[in-house]
Amino acid sequence: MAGRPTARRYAQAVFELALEHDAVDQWLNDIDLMADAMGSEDFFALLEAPQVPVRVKYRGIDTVMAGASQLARNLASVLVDHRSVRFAGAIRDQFRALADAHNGVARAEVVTAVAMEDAERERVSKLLGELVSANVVTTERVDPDIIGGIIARVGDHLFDGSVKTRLADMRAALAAPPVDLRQDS
Amino acid sequence: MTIRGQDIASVIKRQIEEFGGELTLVDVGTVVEAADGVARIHGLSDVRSMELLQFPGDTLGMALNLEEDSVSAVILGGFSHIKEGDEVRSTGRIVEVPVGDALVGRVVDPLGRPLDGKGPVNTSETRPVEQIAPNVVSRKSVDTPLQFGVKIVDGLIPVGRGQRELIIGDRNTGKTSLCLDAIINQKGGDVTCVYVAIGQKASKVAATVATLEQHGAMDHTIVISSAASDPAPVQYLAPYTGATIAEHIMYSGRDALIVYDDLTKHAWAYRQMSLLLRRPPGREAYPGDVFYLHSRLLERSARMNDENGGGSSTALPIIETQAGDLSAYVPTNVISITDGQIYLQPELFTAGIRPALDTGLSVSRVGSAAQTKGMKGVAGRLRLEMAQFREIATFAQFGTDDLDSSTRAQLERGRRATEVLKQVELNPLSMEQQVTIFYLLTSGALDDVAQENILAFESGWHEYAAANIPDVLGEIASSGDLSDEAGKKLDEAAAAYKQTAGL
Repeated sequence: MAGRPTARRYAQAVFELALEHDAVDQWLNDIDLMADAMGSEDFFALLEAPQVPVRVKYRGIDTVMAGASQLARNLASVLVDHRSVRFAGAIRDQFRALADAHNGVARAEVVTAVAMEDAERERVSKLLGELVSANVVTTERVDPDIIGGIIARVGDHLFDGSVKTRLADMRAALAAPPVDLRQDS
Repeated sequence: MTIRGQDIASVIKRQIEEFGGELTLVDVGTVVEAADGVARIHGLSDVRSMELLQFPGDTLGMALNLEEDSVSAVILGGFSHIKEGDEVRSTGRIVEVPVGDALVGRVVDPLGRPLDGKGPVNTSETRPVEQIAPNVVSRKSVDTPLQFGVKIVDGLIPVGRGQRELIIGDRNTGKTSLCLDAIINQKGGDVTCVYVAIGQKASKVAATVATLEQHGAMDHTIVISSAASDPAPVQYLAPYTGATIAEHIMYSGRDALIVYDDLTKHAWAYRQMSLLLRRPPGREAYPGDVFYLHSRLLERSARMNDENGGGSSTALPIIETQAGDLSAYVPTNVISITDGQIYLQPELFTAGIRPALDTGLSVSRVGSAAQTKGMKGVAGRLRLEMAQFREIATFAQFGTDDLDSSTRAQLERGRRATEVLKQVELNPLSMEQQVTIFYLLTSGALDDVAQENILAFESGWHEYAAANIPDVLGEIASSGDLSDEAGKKLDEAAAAYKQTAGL
């Protein structure tokens, strides 16, 4: 988790470049390629090794990222110069988040007690989309512990409609002091 | 308060009807680091400072550091089960506590949860613990006495309603006892007391509550207890909780007395919390805002003017010094915030002068504005005589043979005054009793009583006066003044009493 602010600044810079060149999708691929490469142990060790001349590192980048744009290879070289190779993965995540926000896409995790059917899935995506006003891409998880209902998490927001939470709320309401009851009635 | 069956049924009915109701939307985050009672959380983008957070396992937290990338929160309670990856939900509530009359007679923790096993606190009113102090125009100057029932305080260092009077001294000099005297003396009166224990031994809190119960003082007292074993954030909250409860009483136009026992430990708890939150340390490793920590707390004690209900909240913060060092960091801070201090000295305590109040270093900046007219008259002379006595006593320790008779008389008077100002703890005296004994002292009626007989004289005198001159006592109590006529009656009664007692 360390270095998230650093990664955000790199991602912001790259994203602005991508917007200027209208090449967000191209960059998504390129950054993916870069992060995967830098994530491999051997290549990471080579880029981090102080005894390896910088020239050799640049050549390595050009070879590994042959399919990427010149700007993407430049980004990789800049990361080497700044000794920030370890942030590559975080930069990818941040860049994706920026691209999602730009494209109006929100990623949601949906938890249900039993697997959803296609019709339900569609309805959930549509409803969530209306709530956060974005196109929602969902990932699903089945967790029998929630008993029933649905829990959806979009970014920092959580829509909790699970039976488990309802029961807990009801329990708290019933255990509250009698003064509360009098006010309610 | 009874629960009617239909009330519960109606609630259940409503709950069932609304069961399929709307989704609740909450702000969530993920714990990325948890250690020493502090959790760093990613997410919670809409959280506010001092907001309550819900950790797993019914544990609450309080958001404190809001940073670009994370939120640091202190955990209010046990924290051993909180681990990386746990989900944290915001509650949308700024830290708040229950307030109201249902708390009177109860012992609660700093979040208002009962600790005395007497069932839930039946109040639905809550207030946020952090409040801005009342502003200048809604206040009024202190003019009504808050009787301690302790002669030396009510006579020489009078405390008024709405005043902040610091009680300072080394350990074991009677700081807590003096405050308990003040609480017990409010019995049957119109002042509600709040006693806040901060980081104290649980056994000491239990003993304090037992003392209050024994003297029937829990009927007008609320105890907020944070023991030494409680996490630092809980100890940190305790005085603010107390201030909030006292404020509620003040804003409803009544009078409150709040004792913070003690703010030294509060500063320690805040220091621990700040260091764990990685706030920069300053002098003695306290954070930079340790002054503001106490100033914003004590400023919340005030005397409201009549347009705002005329209530008051009197604060008695306690500070424990190390080896009499009044110039340490936290003591000087609190001295500068309060309206005076009562300094208790270990030397006086061991010499048997109790309360061990150092009359030279103690001061009340409100002064005689907080005294009744009768008390003002006798105590003014007493204060003067005590000051002269202190001056002469320094020289007199080399022998009194060469002194002239008037100086010797002053010395004798001073010694008797010192005796009169002694008082056994948990034995408060009413204002009129204090006025009569001070009158006898300053009028010279005690000059022919031997110094070692003064204590016996006094205890007998109060009984004698109650039996023989109840009209004079009643007049002083109701008018607050000591007329010349009443003075004459006192002289006569004293002469008669001396004959019967043979003193």
